[in-house]
Amino acid sequence: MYQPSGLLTDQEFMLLQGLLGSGYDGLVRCQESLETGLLVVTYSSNVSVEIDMLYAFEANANEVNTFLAKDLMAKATLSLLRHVENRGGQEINDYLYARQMKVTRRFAELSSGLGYAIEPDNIEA
Amino acid sequence: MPLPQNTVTKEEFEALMGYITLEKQGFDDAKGYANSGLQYVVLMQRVTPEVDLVTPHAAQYLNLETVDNYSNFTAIANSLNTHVATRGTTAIPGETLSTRLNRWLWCQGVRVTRVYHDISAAAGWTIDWCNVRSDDADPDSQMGPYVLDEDGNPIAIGCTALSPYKNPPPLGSGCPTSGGTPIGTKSP
Repeated sequence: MYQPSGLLTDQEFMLLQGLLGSGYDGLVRCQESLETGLLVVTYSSNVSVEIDMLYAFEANANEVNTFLAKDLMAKATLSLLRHVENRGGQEINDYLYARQMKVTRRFAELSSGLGYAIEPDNIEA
Repeated sequence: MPLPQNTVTKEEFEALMGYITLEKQGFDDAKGYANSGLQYVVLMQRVTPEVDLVTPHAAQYLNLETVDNYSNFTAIANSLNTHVATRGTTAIPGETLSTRLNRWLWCQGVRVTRVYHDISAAAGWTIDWCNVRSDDADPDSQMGPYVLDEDGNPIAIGCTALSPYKNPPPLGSGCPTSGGTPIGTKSP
């Protein structure tokens, strides 16, 4: 396989996409836990629970929603995708397919949210 | 009409504490992976990938670091702790809110996670190690919640805020919060 000068090796790319995908997974779990906690408070039939806690949980949800998971990871993920495009001269799906590499599901979700849809064949089962 | 002084149940507290713990752990995981990615890029020692990747990876890590610092998690832990401390216990003169929180935790048999302990500490609460899950607690403080003295009376160990309890009630037995002095308080 021809390796353009300056392009990440296959191993380097796979490791970085794995780290980005895992980091994104952590943020998704963070957000899901937060939303579930908010639902527990909201659906409580106990008046005191809602009076005491709803505001804090809602404010927390709003804070987290302002830095939606993918936005925090956007710059680093875009830099990796653009590196492959610019240095490798290939669109991300062609790059992955040519090397028979499959990215993690979370990295695919992250990329998709940034406008780089990754085809199912290039995603880990 | 006064509002009913209802408190979350033990199960509700544990559920909410669990979600706050998971939220923080998820965030910490993300920060750890972001740091690993940054370290990996920096240690490549190759010009072109570094030029393309270092700045965005550093920015990502700094963003996560900025958002973290417990600031997004202390308010919710604070609201939950305040709720059970003020509504779940009867005030005793001289007691702090932390003491009342520890009393509620002890009497309900709730053990918090280490992560929740740390978030609470950042919010200004002192949760005794004896109210932290044993597999999560500080090893230096792991002496068990209490031992028996020579007369067979349990003495709290490692429970600084619970020190008034010469004879702590059995874990989770429930402490009456009305109609007099809670079980286990030291007589004047």
